[in-house]
Amino acid sequence: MKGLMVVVLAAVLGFMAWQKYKPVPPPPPPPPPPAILSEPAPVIDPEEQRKVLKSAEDPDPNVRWEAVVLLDKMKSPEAMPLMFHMLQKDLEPQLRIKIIELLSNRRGADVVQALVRSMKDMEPEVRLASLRALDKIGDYSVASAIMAGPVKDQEEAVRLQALKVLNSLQDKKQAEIEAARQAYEAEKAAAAAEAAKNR
Amino acid sequence: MNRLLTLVVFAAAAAFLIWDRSRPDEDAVAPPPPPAIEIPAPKPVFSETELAKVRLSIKDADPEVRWTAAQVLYNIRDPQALKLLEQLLAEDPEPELRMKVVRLLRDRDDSARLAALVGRLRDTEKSVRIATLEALGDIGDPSVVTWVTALLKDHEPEVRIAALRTLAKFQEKRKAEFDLLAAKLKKDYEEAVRRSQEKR
Repeated sequence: MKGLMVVVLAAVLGFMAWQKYKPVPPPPPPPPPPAILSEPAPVIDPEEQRKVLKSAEDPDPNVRWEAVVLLDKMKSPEAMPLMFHMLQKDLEPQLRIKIIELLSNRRGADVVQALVRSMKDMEPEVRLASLRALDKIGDYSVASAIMAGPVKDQEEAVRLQALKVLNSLQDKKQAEIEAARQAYEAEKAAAAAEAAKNR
Repeated sequence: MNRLLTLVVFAAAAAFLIWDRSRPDEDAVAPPPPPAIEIPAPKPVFSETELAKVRLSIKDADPEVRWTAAQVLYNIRDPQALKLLEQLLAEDPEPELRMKVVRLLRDRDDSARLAALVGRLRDTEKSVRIATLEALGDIGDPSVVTWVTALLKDHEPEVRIAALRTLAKFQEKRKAEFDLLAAKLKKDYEEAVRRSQEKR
């Protein structure tokens, strides 16, 4: 009888101890990150977008400009080709300049190519705007195009701007080379320190 | 003596087990509801007769009087205000007054105002059409996109520009809402990851 009581008591105490110290299961892994698109869907449907595209052919240049701005805001796939087309074909120099200023905030080979083409525009103001945009983008690969065209431009202001842009691009390239050299030196020093520590 | 002690320990352990199983979950207790606060509705400033007179002033010969009457009806939240303002928008001969009413409706938090405003997109005066487009842009409800895009064919370039700017405002508003939601989802996810790491 006594033995049974001891067994029961031991069982009860064992159960209590297990309850108290039982291992906690690991928490479930966090939910996967939410799928976030980089841009919201356009507020207007494709049919309405076609109407906006038509506005880009409006006789009034201000309407054409607002249409470009809207298409750009909607991240419409038509926006960039439209801007490149207008840079070549639109009759209003001020509109071409505005488009160049908008493109100066973008990057990409197609943007640079469009701006290089605009360096041959009939209007000196447009050529100047293209040079300023290319300077802002800072792509050194356009240096040869600048040397071939605007450096020999008939307008003094354009030639001056072309030289300034070449200087600026040279400075940027130099800074890039210097930054890369410093990064390499730092890496080399770190590797040497690591090797000395392991000896 | 030993047997008695064992019995006491056994009884205590059994009682603890029963108490542990049957105790109520503290987290599940709902907080008591907040006490009901009764705010008495303000008494109307105008009697029914006076209100009828103000409503009649909407048709006064003087545009200043008509505008003041419209503002009064709007401010006292007269149930007939929207109907009267719509009537004023449609029939008032004064473009300046119609523009003022458009701006008044813009600030009114009422979904019915959209219908009244959309109607003004066909106003004969270009300034009213532009004011309406600006008001719709400020409201930012993209459900009126079809009517706004219809004005891309307006014969006045200023109206076409205003229509494009209104559409751009809709897009900007959607982008702002989207960015807010994306930031919230990101924050929630980071919080969940942090909590999960703390538990490990």
